[in-house]
Parts: sequence; C-alpha cells; structure tokens
Amino acid sequence: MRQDWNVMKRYRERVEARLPQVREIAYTWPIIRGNVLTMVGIAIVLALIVLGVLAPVISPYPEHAMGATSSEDKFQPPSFRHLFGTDELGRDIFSRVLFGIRISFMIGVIVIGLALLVGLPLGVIAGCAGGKLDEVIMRVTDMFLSFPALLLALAISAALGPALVNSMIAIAIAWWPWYTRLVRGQAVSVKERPFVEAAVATGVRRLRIIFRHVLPNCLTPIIVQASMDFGSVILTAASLSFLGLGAQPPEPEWGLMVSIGRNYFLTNWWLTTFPGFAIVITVLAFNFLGDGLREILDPRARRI
Amino acid sequence: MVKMRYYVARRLLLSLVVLFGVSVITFTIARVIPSEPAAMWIGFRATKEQIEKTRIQLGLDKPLYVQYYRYMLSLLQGDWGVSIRTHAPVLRDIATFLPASLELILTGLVIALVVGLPLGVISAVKKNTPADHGARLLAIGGVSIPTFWLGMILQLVFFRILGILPVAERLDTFIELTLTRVTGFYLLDAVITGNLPALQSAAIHIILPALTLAAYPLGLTTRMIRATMMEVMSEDYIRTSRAYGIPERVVRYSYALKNAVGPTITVLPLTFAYALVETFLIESVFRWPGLGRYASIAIISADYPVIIGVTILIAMTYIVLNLAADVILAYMDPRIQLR
Amino acid sequence: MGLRAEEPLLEIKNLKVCFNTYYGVVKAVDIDHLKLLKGETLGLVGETGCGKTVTALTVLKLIPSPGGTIEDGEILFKGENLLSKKEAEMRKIRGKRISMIFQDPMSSLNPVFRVGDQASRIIVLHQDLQEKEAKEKVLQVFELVGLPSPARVFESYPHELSGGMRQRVMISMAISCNPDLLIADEPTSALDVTIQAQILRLLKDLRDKIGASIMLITHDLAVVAQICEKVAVMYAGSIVEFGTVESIFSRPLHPYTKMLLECIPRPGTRGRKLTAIHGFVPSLVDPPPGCRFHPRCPHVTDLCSKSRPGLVDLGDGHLVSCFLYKQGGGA
Repeated sequence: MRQDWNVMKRYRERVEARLPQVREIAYTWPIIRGNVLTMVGIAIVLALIVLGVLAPVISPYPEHAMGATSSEDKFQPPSFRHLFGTDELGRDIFSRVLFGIRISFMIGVIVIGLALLVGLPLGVIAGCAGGKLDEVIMRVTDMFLSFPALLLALAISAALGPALVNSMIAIAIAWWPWYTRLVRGQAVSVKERPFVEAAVATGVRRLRIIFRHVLPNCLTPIIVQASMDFGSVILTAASLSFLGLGAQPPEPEWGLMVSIGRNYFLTNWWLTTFPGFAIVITVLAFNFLGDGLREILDPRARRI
Repeated sequence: MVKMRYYVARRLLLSLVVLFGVSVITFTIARVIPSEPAAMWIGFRATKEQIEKTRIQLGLDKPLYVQYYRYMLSLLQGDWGVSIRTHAPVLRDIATFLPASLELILTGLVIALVVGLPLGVISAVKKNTPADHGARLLAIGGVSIPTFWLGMILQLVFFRILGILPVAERLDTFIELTLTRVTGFYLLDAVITGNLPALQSAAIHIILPALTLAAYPLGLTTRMIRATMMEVMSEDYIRTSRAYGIPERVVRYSYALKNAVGPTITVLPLTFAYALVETFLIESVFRWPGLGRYASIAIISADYPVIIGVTILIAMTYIVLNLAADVILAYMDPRIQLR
Repeated sequence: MGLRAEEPLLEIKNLKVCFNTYYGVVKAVDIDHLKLLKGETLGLVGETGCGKTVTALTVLKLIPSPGGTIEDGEILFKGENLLSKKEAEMRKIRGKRISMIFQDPMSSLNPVFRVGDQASRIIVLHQDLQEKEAKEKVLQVFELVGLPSPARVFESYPHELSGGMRQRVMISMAISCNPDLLIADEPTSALDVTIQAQILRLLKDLRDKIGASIMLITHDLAVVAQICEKVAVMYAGSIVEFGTVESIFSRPLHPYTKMLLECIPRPGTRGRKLTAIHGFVPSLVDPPPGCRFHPRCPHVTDLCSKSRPGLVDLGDGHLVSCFLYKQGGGA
C-alpha cells in the first residue's frame, strides 16, 4: 500500500513538473504560427531532417557518399544525371550533400548534448549552492568565456589532432560555459520560489532538489538558446573542417567538401558552391527560428 | 580622474588572473597531448638518439610544471620561444605577420560599422517597411554565411566571371618590389611614400577579403543597433524631445542613437576577436600573408611554441580590447559608476 | 491673434481617440466638450487609465501613429484647429506655444546629455538664439524655478539630480519659451509629499508671475483643491462633470464624483471603514453600453444602459453628464 502511494506521488510530481512547460507551449503556439520568420525556419529545418533521414533512399548515388569513387565521371558540371555535378573523384555531389545533412545534424546534436551535459549540472549547482562553490565555478566559466568560441575550439582541436570526433569534443568544450552561465542565472531566481522552500522543509535531499525541482524549471531559456546555437555549431564545425581539423576525407561533410573543392573551384565552380550553399540554408533556417523565438518571447514585441 | 585609474588598475589585475589561467590551459593542452615536438624540430628522418638529444636540449624531459615555469619566465623576458618549423623566434614571426592581419581586420571592421550603423538605424526607424526587411535579410545573411565560402564566391564572381578584381595576395608582384615598408600597413605606406600605383594595387587587393571579413560584423552591428534603437525610441525621453518640437531627424540620430550605441560598443571587442579568428579562414582563401595563415600552418604542423604564443597574444588582445570597450562605454554613458 | 475675455484658449470638441491593440480596438477617449480659458488653471481628474494623459498627448498630436488614431473631433487652440495642422506646423507649436511637463522626470530626461544642453537646445530651436545667449536664458529660468546653483545644475546629468530638482528642470524647460498653455501631466506623482508641496507652490508662483494657463492632470483631488480653479472629472474616457473647484467640491453632482470625494479619508473619522467604489474600471475595448459608469452607479436606471448622457449645463457653468440632471438645473 505504501509503495502505491509513493508511486502515485512520484508520478504526480513528474507531471506537475512538466505541466508548466506544457502549458507554456500550448499558450505560445498560436503566436508562433503568426510569425512568418519562425515558420519559415521551422519549415526548412523539418525539410532538412526529412531529406537527411531519407538520404539513402532518395540520393541517386548513395555509394558515393560512403567512399565509392567513379574516376571516369570526374568534374562533370551539373546536369540531369548529376544535379550538383561531380567532384574530383567523380562522386555525385548531390548525394554527398544529402548525406552531409546527416553529419551536420549529428554534429549539432552531439556537441550541444555534450555541452549541456557538462554545463547544466555545473550551472545549476553553482546557482543553488552559492557562496564559494558558486564563485569558483563561475570564475572557471568566465575564464573559458573570455575566449571567442571558435578560437578555443580551434586550439583544442589542433591539440587533439584532426578528426571529426575531436572537433566535436573541442566545440563542446568551447560551448559549455554559455549554458552554465545561463542556467546559473535562472537557478538563482528559481531557488527562491516557494515550492523549493517546501521541498527543503520536507527534508528532501539537496541534490535531489537541485536536479528534480530546480533544473526542470530553468529549462525554457536553455531550450531556446540551444535551438539557436544549432546553426552556430554547424558553422563552427564546418569552419574547423575547412581548416583540416574536423571531418576527414572521404566523409561527406560540407566544410570538408568546400575545403577540398577549393583547389579546383575556379574552373569547376560547382564543387564548392553547393555544399557551401547547404551550410548557408541550414544556418539561416536556425537563425530564422532563433530570431523568431526571441521576438515572440519578448513581451514588448506584441503586435499593436 | 582618480576613479578611472582605480577602475583600470582593478580590471588589469583581474585580467592578469584570467591570462594566467588561459596560459596554463593552452600550455597543458599543447604539451600533454602528443605529436613528438623533438622529432619535428630536427626533421622526421633523424635517428632515435638524435631525437632524444633534442628532447633534452629543448628541455622536454623535465616535468610539465617546470617546463611551464621556464616558458613563462622567458615569455616575460621577451623570449617567446622559437618556431619549430621556421626556426625563427616566434615574436619576430608574429611581428612580421601581424600588420597584414591588422590591416585586413581594421578595414573590414570599418566597412562593417560604416554600413551597419545607418542600416540598423533605418531598419529600426522604418520598421516593417521593405527597407527594414531588406536590411534584416542582409543582416541575418551576414551572420549565417560561412566566411570561407563567401570569400570563394566573391573570388568566383569578381575574378573569374567579371575579371575586375584580383584573386589573392596583397599586391601585384612587381609593384610589391617598389613599395617601401613603413608601418606594414600597405595602404598607409603607399600614401605615406606617395606611391600611387601601390595604393591602387593594395586597395583592389584588399577589397574582397575585407568584404568577406565584414559580413559577420555587419550583420551583428545592424541587428544590435536595430534592437537597441527600437528599445530607445519607445523611451519617455524621446517622447519628451518630440513634445518640444525637436525635428525627427535630430531625435533619431542624436538623441536616440547616443543612447543606442552602448551595447554595440560593448560587443566590439567580441567582434574584433571573432574577426581575428576569421582571418585564419580568410587568409587561407585569399593567400593573405598574415598571422592567420602563419598560425594555421603552425596548427597543422603541431608547432607548439607558435600555437601557444599566438593564443596568448590573441588572449591578451581580447582582454585589452574588452577593457578598452568598458572604458569607452563609461565615458559615453555617464550613468555608469566606476566602482 | 487676440482673444476676447470669454473666448477659450483651448477648446476640445467631440474628440474620439482609439488605439488598435492585440486585444482589440481600445476606445480611449470620447470627450464631448472641454474648455480652458486664458489665465485659468484647469484640473483634469480621474483614475489611472481614464484617458487623461491620452487627451493631453492628443492636444500636442503626439499619439503614436500606427496604433493610435484620432477618429473625430476638433481641438481649437486660440481658434485654430490643431488636428488639421501638418506635422511641421505642430513642431513649431510644441514647446513654444504649448508645453508639456511629464510625470516621471527621471525617464523623461535624456540620460546621456547634460541637463543644461537639453534645455538650451529647445531655446535655440524655437527662439533662434545663439548657444551662448540660450545658455544665459536657461540659467535665468533655472533661477526662476528655484534651482540652487543654476550653473552647476546646467552641467549635471539627470541621474545626478534629485527628483525635485529634475522636475524643476522639466518645468523650466517647459516655460523657457513663454508658452501660452502649459500641460502638466501628474507633475507630482513621482515625488514624495514634501517635494510635492514645493512643486505645487512653484506652479502657483509661475502662474501668478507669468500668467500661464495650466492644464493640470492628476488623480489626486487634494492637488486639485490646492491649485486649480476649474475641474473636469474624467471616467473611462469621457468627462462626467465640469465646474469650478468650489462647486464641485461642495456640491458634487455626478455619482462618480460624489463617491470619489467620499473615498478621501478625513481626519476625525478614525475607526470608520474606508469607503471604496465597488466594481472595476470597465474595459475600454468593450465598454458598457450607454453611460460607461452605469454598472457601478447606485442610482442606475434603465435609460442609463441604453444611451449616453451628454454634458448638460446646469446654468452656472457647472456641467454634468448624467440622466439624473436636466438642462438648466434641477434633478
């Protein structure tokens, strides 16, 4: 009997904790729909995801994205057979760009995931603990923040050696401080709320309070920021690949494709134009999304 | 202003702490994680004993903290180590390549500000008109486009297709021989020495890379100014100035703008640092002989003294710029108390 | 253009102002008739949100343009209709012939410019003086409004001055070009009580010294009693009662005015419950039909919800907008 009680209680707790977010989403959706910028961004992102998922099915030459080459078809300009033309090894660029979607999105998810994994706990602990611990964590965070992200990622990536995995780790290391700072700010105000006081009063363990009570309520700005960061992360990863520090051949990563294509592009413009364009569209979509979100969340921006 | 002096001193002290932390991190990373520096130094075809000798010679056999200590000591004395690749003192290499990068960055930033500020104001003031939408599209494009790609597209269009601008380098090779270097800034040097063909050559060579560099700061500036102007324009004191009959143009470009530039100035060091990093990419695309290219090569060849040296230099620059921005902001906004 | 004694300095007729908002169209102002004579001090009284500030802003045509529309009406200033004037003409009037003092002097002064510079800018603009002469004039006016060490104040920034001093600066900016009409929007609401008294005394002084006509907007009946000659009571965008201070305070006619006066706590009534007007201020997007006050009125009749009572003159210049009263007096 007592176990049932506890199960019910825990379930209710969890629903209660999620409810504010659910309610928030239900309230803001109609506003989101009215905002052209955000809708375009969402549409493009969804389209990209669909294309990426379906890449093995819809690309005309999927083997070209996995390492196969076709030397007789080198440097073909765009045509019906090869929508984006072929590269220096005869591979179909259209297929490779499609597969590149998968890589880019994977990079985004992993990097931001890692950054959140490190940044969120640190930030929420700092915000809730206060005092010396807070100071120490924030000083370290500030130290990392005193560098532009790309530079830090560059340095770490260089030290770790050229590989896609290393570049992802490097970018994640450069990125986590932003989330720490964001979450800490939120945590500081959330911890003053009455339900936290109540939890403390009923003797809930401190660590549990921090992660089960405070953290879920800090998530909204994090979610917004993370979705905006997706584009920047992809851009940074592409830049690292361009410098030779990220993805390595023959992976169909966009930055890498631009980098290799550079040697030939003055006479074969399609080698760099299309992969680069893919980067532009992706980053633009996420920026539209982020901009739109920010406009919506700003209370002063109500349409008059 | 005594207050100002205390403020600056305090900030410098804090910056030193940060710099210390940064140097430790960079040093550790560059030394702990691998490649065999000694082998690099004397070439990969050396024998094992030679490599071992070089290791001892370079002090690489001592524990890490000793290496760090020695390095920092020599750093403070002006000896920034010697590049493993070029065997030249790092500091000298930096001094050689820095002006090229600076010239590029400064030109790019100037373009970004000169275009971005009025664009942002117009966009904010003529909200939701085609002008606003056009400006916003330009701005968001600027921050979304990968710089290296933009550079290549510009090369494609202006060099390959239109044939009106050169594709790379800073000067035509023959003209290069005629220019006497004074500051290292070719545009300035050409003006100073009255070398007109050099001025023209330097100018057309710098346009494309500078434009490429300006894209992101332009976008950023436009967006920031737009956001702050919109906030400022809805403030009470703007209403007051209108209530007294001040003409709208004065209200916008004097009363409002002076309030709005603050955040943009704060963001300027960030933008500069961003530009500094972007030059890695741009110099690569345009074969611009600057610090970025020097550092890129160092990275790929694991030239650790150069990597550490450049990183520390950039960190120092960034910190100084941040400080400068805060000081300027304090001058501009009299409300900021210098605690 | 000279004025005959009875011709009003400012006359508002049939003014309707609306705002398009996210929630609907807000019918903010619906004024039948309002008059201000030369040399007079008129108090415009009402709760927050009743449309007083909007009325004032409309006189200067400062209503923000996408959003606010002046649907109908005339605002006659010395006989000329301000609403038909172009923006360029209005700019010559603002600050020069009609000046406005705003509620919160901290946010109404530009924080990054020196106070003296802001003031002399206005003089340079409207009176065609050189900067040096303008500065002289500013210092004179600063002294006139009672600012200590005018030269130091001139060089100060708004955040370096106290609330009372800032308001004095605003007042001096307003009178610096000798306007015919001064509109003061809650000039004392952002200040503490002692400073309030000082500022009111200053306004009275100025009125006597330079013969200014003042439209004083406030929610505080005590302020009105101290300094105004005539009073107009506003509720939900319309004028419900108008008259001299004596007749309004001693013989309030409109139910709303009566209840307002009853709400003021009086000394010697300790132990009694505070009176409040029950109900809430109506939404201006969907105002009650007919008389806007009828849902809260203790004397409400059927007629009140069907049509709006106009302002009727009870003979002695005391106007009321209520079906309880008929033209010419009597209830």
